[in-house]
Amino acid sequence: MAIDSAKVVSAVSGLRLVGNEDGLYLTRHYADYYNRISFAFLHHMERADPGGFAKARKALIETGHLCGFNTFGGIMLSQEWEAVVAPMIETREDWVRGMVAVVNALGWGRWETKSLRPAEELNVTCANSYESEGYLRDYPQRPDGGVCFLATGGVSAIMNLLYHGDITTRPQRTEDYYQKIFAAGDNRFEGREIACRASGAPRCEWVARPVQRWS
Amino acid sequence: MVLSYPVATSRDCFGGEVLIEVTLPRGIERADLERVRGAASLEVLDGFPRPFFRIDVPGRFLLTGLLLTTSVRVTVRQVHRDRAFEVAQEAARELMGEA
Repeated sequence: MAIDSAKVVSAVSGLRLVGNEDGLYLTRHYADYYNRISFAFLHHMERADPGGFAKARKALIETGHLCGFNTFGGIMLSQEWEAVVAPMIETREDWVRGMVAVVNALGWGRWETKSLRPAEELNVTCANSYESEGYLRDYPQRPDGGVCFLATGGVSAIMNLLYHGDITTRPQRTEDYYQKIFAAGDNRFEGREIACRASGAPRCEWVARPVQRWS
Repeated sequence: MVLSYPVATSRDCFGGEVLIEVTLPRGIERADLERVRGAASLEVLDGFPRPFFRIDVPGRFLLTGLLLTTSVRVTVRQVHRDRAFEVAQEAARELMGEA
């Protein structure tokens, strides 16, 4: 059985997201709020330092790594994943496709897997990423440079979790594990946004491949 | 009577709760879910490929799992974090009808 994306989206959308009794956190983080503080930070850094854009981008993509590690990693080790996605999984690549399907229930825009080469490269596109949507609403189109930082980190997180850290063995999501799969080795995956609507492209597009293969 | 069930994993959650995964001696049946005391909500999502359940007991724990499996996750509320293991065991015993 291959991953049935529509079935995954329908099932995940029907799950009631719950926080603790003190209130909801993380599960209901408003996209607009995140966008606005991210892009205010980005622009502040650009004004303050000639290399500010690169520094801000690095920090915001790192945030995407952390989000991907905790959110995607947590999802892949959850009972909800076991209930909905795991029965459709036959290969490691199905984990990737399953995770992309779950993302499409999170309100991040509609992700599509353009191509997946096992352990080598993941290419994902999106016609309505919430980051580019939010950017274009509040700011003019940029001459260059993508702004979908969280998604960039998220795409590399999927590959790192599956092909560098092997989350299929159900490891504990510790700081050491994070460092192992995101900060160590030439085989770790790095994501880049190769097209962004905020810079005039029709779709946003991210590619994750091992660090050594980018050079 | 079982004194304690094996604990597969235990970890602190963001927000002060403690998540404990308990291994049960047999698969969980739908009727078992009704035995958990004080449930404010009991959901069984049986439209999924594997039926998933979630039982919320305010002030004590959130219990989640898959029917017919032997593993259950008990998210013990912050107020009980100092006796999280005991609360998780209580939840498991109620589920198994041994409380």
